[in-house]
Amino acid sequence: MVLNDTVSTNLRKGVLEYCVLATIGDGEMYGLDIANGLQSRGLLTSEGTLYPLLARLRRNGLVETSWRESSQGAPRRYYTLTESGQQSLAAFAEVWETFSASVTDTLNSTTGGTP
Amino acid sequence: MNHDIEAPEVRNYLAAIEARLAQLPTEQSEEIMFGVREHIAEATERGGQSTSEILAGLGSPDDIAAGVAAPDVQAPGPVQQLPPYQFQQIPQAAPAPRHQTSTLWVVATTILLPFGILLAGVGWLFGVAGLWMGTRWKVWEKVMGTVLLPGGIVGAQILSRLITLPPRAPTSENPIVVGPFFPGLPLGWTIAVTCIPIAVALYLLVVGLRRGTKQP
Repeated sequence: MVLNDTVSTNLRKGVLEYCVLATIGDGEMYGLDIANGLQSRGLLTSEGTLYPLLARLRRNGLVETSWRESSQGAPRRYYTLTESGQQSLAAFAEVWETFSASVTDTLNSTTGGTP
Repeated sequence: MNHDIEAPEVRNYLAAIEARLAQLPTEQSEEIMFGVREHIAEATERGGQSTSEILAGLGSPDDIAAGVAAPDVQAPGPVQQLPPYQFQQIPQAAPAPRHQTSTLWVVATTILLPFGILLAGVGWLFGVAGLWMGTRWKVWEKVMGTVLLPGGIVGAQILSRLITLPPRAPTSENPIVVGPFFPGLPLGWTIAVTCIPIAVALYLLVVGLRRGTKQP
């Protein structure tokens, strides 16, 4: 169990920011909805860790924020991908497709064989 | 919505996060704090979870602080040498939340809107800029503050002159009481049109101050 947790944590570490970018996609998303989406897929164990990550993505120019009126009263902050964020996500998706296929292929292959 | 954000349990939780982010640049820590505050407020608004469940879902302040360096990774220890955060601990006095738009900003904006035109004629423009750059007002409130009435009280007077008939000579049966600041304009009109921009500014002041605890 501890090993599983460690493996999951290490894998998440490498892909979480791209999963955030993919969750936002082409639309505008509210922080809570991003957190809920990631958590429901098991990609985020502590929702609060999303906010340092979103702040970093914004500083790095991958997402931008905008304010929109809400029916509840206070304006809400929404996240959208910048052009740079979309390019970064597209590049990751390309790498991930090859990478995940390679990992799956390796895991399914007979150990000790020649590739 | 504001209710649970101000609950001692939440204030204590936010203060614990703020303490752990103290080494970050102010802008960075404020951005994170705002996200967490907004998350709690919105999750509370949507219902279905108790405050304790919402805070537990967010994770401990140490988890969030660790996320500054590496997202969603449990650090071996807290970022700062602070005692581990305990959920449901006794509430302590929390520092006042920081906001993007300060109370001073709100007050200055709502003074400049009605009276700024008296400051070399451009103060009103600064008031409008403050209104649109501020984050405590909704779009319709910003539109209202801009168009009702442009130029503040002076603009209101000019507008009222345009829509009233040319001044007529007072008679003993129908005397015209003229206001002291705008000769030729009946006193009743002067008071009425002066009150509109002031009333709008007061409304913007009240809602701006009330929303100060909800968002930066």
